[in-house]
Amino acid sequence: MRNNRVGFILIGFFAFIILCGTFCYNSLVNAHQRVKNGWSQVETQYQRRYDLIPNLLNSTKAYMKHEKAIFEELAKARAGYMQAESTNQKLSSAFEIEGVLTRFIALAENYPDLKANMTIQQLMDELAGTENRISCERMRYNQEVMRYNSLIFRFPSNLMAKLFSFHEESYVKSKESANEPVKVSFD
Amino acid sequence: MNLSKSLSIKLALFLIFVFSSFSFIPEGLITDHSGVLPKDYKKKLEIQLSEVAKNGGPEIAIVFIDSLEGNTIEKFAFDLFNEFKIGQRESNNGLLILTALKERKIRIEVGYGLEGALNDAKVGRIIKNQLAPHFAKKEYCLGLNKALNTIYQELKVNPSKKIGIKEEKYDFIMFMVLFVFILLLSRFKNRVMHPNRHVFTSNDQNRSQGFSGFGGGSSGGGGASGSF
Repeated sequence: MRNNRVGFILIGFFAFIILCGTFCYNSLVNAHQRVKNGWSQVETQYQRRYDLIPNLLNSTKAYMKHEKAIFEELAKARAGYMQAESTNQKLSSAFEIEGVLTRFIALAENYPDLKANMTIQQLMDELAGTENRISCERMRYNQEVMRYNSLIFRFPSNLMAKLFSFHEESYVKSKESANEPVKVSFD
Repeated sequence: MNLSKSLSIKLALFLIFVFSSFSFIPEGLITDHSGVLPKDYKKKLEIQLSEVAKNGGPEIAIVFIDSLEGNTIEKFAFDLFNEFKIGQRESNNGLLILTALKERKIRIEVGYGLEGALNDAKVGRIIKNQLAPHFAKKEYCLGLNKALNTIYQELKVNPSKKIGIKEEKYDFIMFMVLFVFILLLSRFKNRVMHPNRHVFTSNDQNRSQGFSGFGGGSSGGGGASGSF
């Protein structure tokens, strides 16, 4: 009779442990999935910026004849992004595009004819929207990474993380200051 | 017992007051803490916007704030949009028109689901050509009406009730007269009925309008900003 009771308690205990473990494992998997999804959103927006650059170059070329260097730099940075394979490479080449783009826009502001052109104005709106999207998606991604990482370090999910080798994910920060988008203002 | 009860009620009231002064509570589809829109216009527009949303159209929120308090309008709009959860959860068809009066900035933030029909360039043009010129002249209703009409056209929405705009100046004078009249009346009433009462703002009035919150949509920072 007594043995029976101990058996039940043991079974209950193990069932509880397994249940907890399953719960922790599932929440880790979910959090990791959200991180991955967040990153793919960031990448989608990087791609959007990437697609806008040729348009930008073509429509501003006629106005900015003396700025060949920056055009070449921007085209090069864009090609760099295309060739990047790993996440880290993609990130660093996206930062490079960001840097060149900021300088390009600063230069473009010196050309009043550019500002008057409707097509370029619209393109600038698209670019500003894309930059804002990038910073928003980056922020969201970082939030997901924070949630995931805290699961990895927190008890009891850290045990499952060690057991199934879930690794810490790194945050995305822009080089100069975190989440500061490229300023595009043609007002 | 009685003492502790009254104390806890006071504490709750105090907390509500503190909380409400820091957090941003939507008054409905239109939130106008600064009171730039005439009341009857606001009421009509609220009805129109909620009808559009009910008939499967976009859920459009219009917000006027005094100041961004150091934030960028992009960040403020993104946070507000995703805090309010404007638009339906499945279709993400929300749209936010945010105006910061002190900084003279406008932003139209577009939900994920409307990004295709209302791209940033179109939204930028709506701000530049319709909102900004009228807002600069303090013709908020006229600017909003023109912008909303363009948005309806782009999204192929047909609101059943059109809101006619009378002369804005006339509206403004009427509004001022009414405002002063109501102010005088309420003061008079207060003095007669509750001589020592403190005035607390509450959103009971909004509850009676039947605003049941936004649909659960989200945005990813799409849209455009401008100055007026």
